[in-house]
Parts: sequence; structure tokens; C-alpha cells
Amino acid sequence: MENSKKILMIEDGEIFIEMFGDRLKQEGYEMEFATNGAWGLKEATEKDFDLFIMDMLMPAMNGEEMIIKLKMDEKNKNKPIIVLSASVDRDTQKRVEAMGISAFYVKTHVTPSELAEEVKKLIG
Amino acid sequence: MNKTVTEEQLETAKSDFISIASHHLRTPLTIIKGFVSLLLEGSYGEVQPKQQEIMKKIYDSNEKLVGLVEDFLNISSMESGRMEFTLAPCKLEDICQEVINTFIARANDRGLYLEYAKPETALPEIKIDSNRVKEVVSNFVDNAIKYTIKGGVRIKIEQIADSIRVTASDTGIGVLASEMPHIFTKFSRGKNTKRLNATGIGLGLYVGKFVIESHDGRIWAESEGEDKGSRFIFELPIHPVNKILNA
Repeated sequence: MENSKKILMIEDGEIFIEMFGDRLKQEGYEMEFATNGAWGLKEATEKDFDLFIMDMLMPAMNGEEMIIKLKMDEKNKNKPIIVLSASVDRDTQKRVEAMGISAFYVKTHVTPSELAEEVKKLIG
Repeated sequence: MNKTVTEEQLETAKSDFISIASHHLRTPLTIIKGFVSLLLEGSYGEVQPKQQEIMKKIYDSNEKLVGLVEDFLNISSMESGRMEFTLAPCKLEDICQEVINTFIARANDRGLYLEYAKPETALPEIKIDSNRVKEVVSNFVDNAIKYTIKGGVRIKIEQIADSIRVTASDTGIGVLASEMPHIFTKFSRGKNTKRLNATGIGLGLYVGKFVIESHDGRIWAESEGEDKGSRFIFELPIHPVNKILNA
């Protein structure tokens, strides 16, 4: 199944890359991965993506900093961002929602298929 | 060697331990949830009916573990004064309806009715943390279903003076007079839980009491005794004085 949309997933847990990434690939999305925020930002700047999925707690620039930088970038500021966090820290959630992310999920509360449904709603 | 520790230091250490342990538990729980759901959906190949059945049991058990970890984290944040609330104007009758929708199938599967009684005119909106209050309503309904063998559960919402009251009445095993003073305490479970194979570790009402009281509300239970059913009730003020921090 071909879908020309490209997704960048920034996640430092390889097993989650496999779990969520595999499911999104099944939907035909082209997936690229970065295991830290700084690398993710570099990829986002140099290439074109339709959607970003990111963890909050990562080495070399955490998710929140990366969202701030994406929102300042002309090319990426309106691209949908889904946060896939390891835990609910309501203060962080409030802050990133105020920055304009599309969805905030806690990993223990979302299955790969539910994430795929959300992605489909956002970019088709 | 004499090592004295204050009670406060002990409480902090306990809370921190629970918090750290629970965060570490989340990763393997997430992995089980994600991969089992993918297996069940056939993402890795066709699944035989018996395999499907077994994997569903694994999935459901894992969901219970996820719930337990959430409970532990709630307790640790409550007890260290770090529980956060996000307040927004809400229609409590809609929250109750959502809970009813979630539990109706389970009640019916057990041969029980689950009814909802609300007034015809809309109730005033109140400023509450809708997620946390919804958990309290869910806990009431979940307990009522667990501890009722025949008959069913009725949820009623109404305005009483300047509060909104939610009552969950059931025709279940009731609460003994001796148990009543303890039901909202930590790890408290009814004596008859073994008889009913009821799961849960007794934290729901403990957390619920904290949530309702943080909203300047009241929570209590009534029962005429063993096998005479019970009513679990909370009231939330329409205009709270706002004791809650982090609003």
C-alpha cells in the first residue's frame, strides 16, 4: 500500500521504533527515525516531512526544546506534531499543548494501531 | 550505629521509591501492550482462535498492571503533595454518561442493569479536573458492578442546593457497619471480596476521596448492611472556594 507521506519519529527506545514504526510502515507511510532531539532537528531541517512523532525525554535536546525549535522554523512550524511520552507530567503536557501540538499520548495508554488512526486523521 | 530518620523523611523516601519504580515498570508494560495488540490484530501473521483467546487474556492482565502502576503513581504524588489538577468548566452529567457508555457492556455481560437518572434540564457547569473526577465515577461504577451478583447499578446526578451530587446505588453485597469507617482508607477491601473473586487492591476510593476533597467536595457511602446494597455518593460545590493548587 503506497502512501507518499513521510513521518519522522524521534525516539530513543529502539523497541518503540520497531513497535510503532512497523505499524505505521504497514499503513504505507515512509518512516525515518532519529534517536535524539539534536539529530531529529537536523533531519527536520534538511529533509521534508509531513508529520513528527516525538518522545519527551531524550538525550541531546529533549522533546520540549525540539518542539520550540520546530515551531520557529518557517518550513516546519505548521506540520502536525504528536507527542508519545513515557509518562504524564501534566505541567509539560499543558506547556506543549499551548505550543500547538496535535496530540499528546502516553505510551502505556495507546496501541500502535490507535496511533496509526490518529496519524491518518492528521495527514491522511 | 544509630541512624534516626524523621517521619517526613521516611514518607518522602517511600513516595520517591514508588515513583521511580513505577516509571521503570511502564516501559515493559508498554512493550507488552503494544506487541500483544499487534499480534492480536494479525500484524505478524494469521492467528488461530485459541491463540487469540490466550493473547486477549495476556492483554487484559497487562491492562490491569498498567492500572495498578497508575494507582501507585497517583498515591505517591498525592502523598507527597505533588498531585496536579487541570480545572476547566465541565458538564458533570456528560462525564457520567461517558462512564455509563464504557461500562454498560460489562454490566450486561454479568446479567446486571446499569441505569442513568439525570434531570431533564441541564445542570450548571462546574470547574473541575474532568479526567480525575471521571476516574472517581468510573471507580464507583466498577466497584458497584464487581460487588453485585444480581440486580444492578443506578447512577443518579442531581443538584442539591449549591452542589451537584452523584450517587451510585447498587443491589450488591453491601458494606458491613464494621467496615464503613475504613472503606476510604488505603488498601481497604471488603471482607466478601474473596467470595466474589473481585480484583483490585483497594486504592480507588482512597484516591477518589483525595480528588473530591481537593475540589472542596464531600464523599461518603451508605449501606443498610450485608447483602442490602450500597450507595456511594460524592458532592461537588458549584462555586468552590478553590483550595486546589496548580489550577
